[in-house]
Amino acid sequence: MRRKIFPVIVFSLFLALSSISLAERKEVKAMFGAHAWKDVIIANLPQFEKETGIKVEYEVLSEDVLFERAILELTSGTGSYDVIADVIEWVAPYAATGGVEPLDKYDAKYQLNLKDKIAAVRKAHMFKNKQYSLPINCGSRMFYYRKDLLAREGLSVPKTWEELKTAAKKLTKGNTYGMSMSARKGAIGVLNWMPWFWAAGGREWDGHRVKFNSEAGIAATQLWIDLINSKSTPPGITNFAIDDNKSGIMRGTIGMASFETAAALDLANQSKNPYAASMGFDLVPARFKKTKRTATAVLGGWGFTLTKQSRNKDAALKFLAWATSKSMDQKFALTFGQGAYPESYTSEAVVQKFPALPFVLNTLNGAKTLFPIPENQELADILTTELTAAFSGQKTAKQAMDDATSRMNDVLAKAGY
Amino acid sequence: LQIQTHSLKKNIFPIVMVLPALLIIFGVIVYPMLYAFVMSFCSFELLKMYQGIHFIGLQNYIAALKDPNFINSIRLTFKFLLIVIPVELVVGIAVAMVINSDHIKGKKIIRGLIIVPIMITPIVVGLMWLYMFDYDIGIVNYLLTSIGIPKINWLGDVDFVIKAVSIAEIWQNTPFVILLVLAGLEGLPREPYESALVDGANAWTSFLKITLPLLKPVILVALLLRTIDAYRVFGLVLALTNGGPGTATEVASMYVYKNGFKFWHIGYSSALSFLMLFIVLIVGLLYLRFLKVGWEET
Repeated sequence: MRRKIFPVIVFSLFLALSSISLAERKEVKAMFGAHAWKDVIIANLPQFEKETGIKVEYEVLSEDVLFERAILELTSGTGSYDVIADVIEWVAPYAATGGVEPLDKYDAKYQLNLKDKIAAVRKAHMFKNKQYSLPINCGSRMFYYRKDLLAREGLSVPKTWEELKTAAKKLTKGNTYGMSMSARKGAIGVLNWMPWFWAAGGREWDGHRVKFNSEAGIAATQLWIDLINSKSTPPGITNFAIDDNKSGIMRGTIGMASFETAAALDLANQSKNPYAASMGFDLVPARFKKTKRTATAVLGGWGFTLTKQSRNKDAALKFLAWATSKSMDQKFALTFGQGAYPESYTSEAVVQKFPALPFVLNTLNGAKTLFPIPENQELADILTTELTAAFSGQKTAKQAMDDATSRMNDVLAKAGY
Repeated sequence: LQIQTHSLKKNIFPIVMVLPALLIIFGVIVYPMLYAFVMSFCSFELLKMYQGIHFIGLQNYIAALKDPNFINSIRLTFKFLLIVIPVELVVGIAVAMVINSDHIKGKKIIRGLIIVPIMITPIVVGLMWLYMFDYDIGIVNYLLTSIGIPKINWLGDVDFVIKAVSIAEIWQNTPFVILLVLAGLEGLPREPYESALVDGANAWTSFLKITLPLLKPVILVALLLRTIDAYRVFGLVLALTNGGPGTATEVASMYVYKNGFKFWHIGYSSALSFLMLFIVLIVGLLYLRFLKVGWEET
């Protein structure tokens, strides 16, 4: 009998010891997105690993691939990853899978500094009032203009759409186009059009249904159709992304534009932009003088989520606390001019390097998230499809907004809203 | 008994050798396909797993056939095929004839250079052409303006955007037709050409009366392979236009991808995939019928 019991005891001890060693294994597996923040984190990882003894293994994936892999990982719940990066639009889909852990309860213990982050940004990383993601960086959209070109035509900075149309027409000369926007089909097109919708006093979503065929929606679409038809915009704007606008301004072929705040850093940099000294930044012009120009930008930015199936939550949370700490945030801001804490945008060293940052912070404070629901990808796809159909002359502004509203409401009704 | 055991061993050995490959094929192709087929009859929303997976019969298929966006994407895919396939075949045969002629030297080098576009992934080809089609700084408009033709808004104008995508597709895949036809040309017998020469036939007559009929099976194979491949066009469109503006370039595979991997309607996108498969199967069967006739005639 003893002979039989002995191997069983040894085997049990072995199992117990190995499970202890697994539990104490200080290793975090993460999915990073291909953005500048990952370079800063990777460069500083050796220091983190030395201080904590936690080894961080990571994979860097492009935005599209990351979203697909993350959703599949979170729904299958294999626990292969402890930390997965997200962008604001993915917070709701990630949370809907049930595979990510709300982080509120860990705030105090791990010093996640939730309350110290830019309020609008922190809120954008929430779903159903729970903090599912920790912001890493953020950006929004704003209005760029060349002060010298406006001055040459005797124009002041446009504050209304009528002033904008007049200025766009006057600035369009030779190889220079008056006004531009990132209007490419995709999330980018929606994010850049929404400020104009809000600047017309539009309200897109009441929690149940959308209403883009409102006066504001049709007017915002018509504004861009008018700008395109009057040839005040570059001919290819329905395929324009951030770099097309940025390089256009740097080449002197675009006088005014509305697109991502991330470009402000290069545009205000004299070594990169020959017109840097003449660059001006503002919120997008309002439809009428009386329209309040506050929340006129859509938030964008990256964050980190903790998977529910993580086998190393303690190590993962320590990594998250470090990667989203104030000191790392300063490094992000100094490297690529973005962060998640307000002080990173106003610190002397950062502002000296990126003078446009205090204004960017101004746009972030009033910025909002678009459709904070899991179906947001489908809604955004419908909206961008209809917008580009209108911009390319396939539909009128009213037809496009009617179709967008009807198709989006079908999706919402089907999803039970 | 000994003979029976020996025969069994003899039969089992090849089966054992092939079994791992069969298991892998079953695991990565057959099982996922069967699973997707089953899912196409289910309501399966990946972002709403709490709702579970429910059998809903043909509802996904009926919804797909009533979906104007899917119908539009199929119509657009066939429009795209009608542009690219004839051009690829005509240009492919013409270039292959030129390369195959006795006057051309350095055939091996030419052949090596020709396969370069096929080796580039479609998404990179898309990005390359995205810059080349740029309105202001693209080389295509530069060349047009240098010969007095006004600039074209290739990717923003609905009248031109499908043509722009087709040009990129033709650039990438015509070399495949060239290589296939070249291989066919090299295998043709010399005797019919010598007889035709004696009878006084010129080069054009020889091409029409001898080369084309003899090449018919090769051309039909090229037609079949290129149609199936072009029908699945995806990466190129994604990089060039993302399906826009509007739905001007939203081809069927892109619509299926969006429903499956952006909106996570797994059941519905499975049904869309099988409808796409069914359509290409019919086209393929028609081609095979012609192919059989072509072979029999040859």
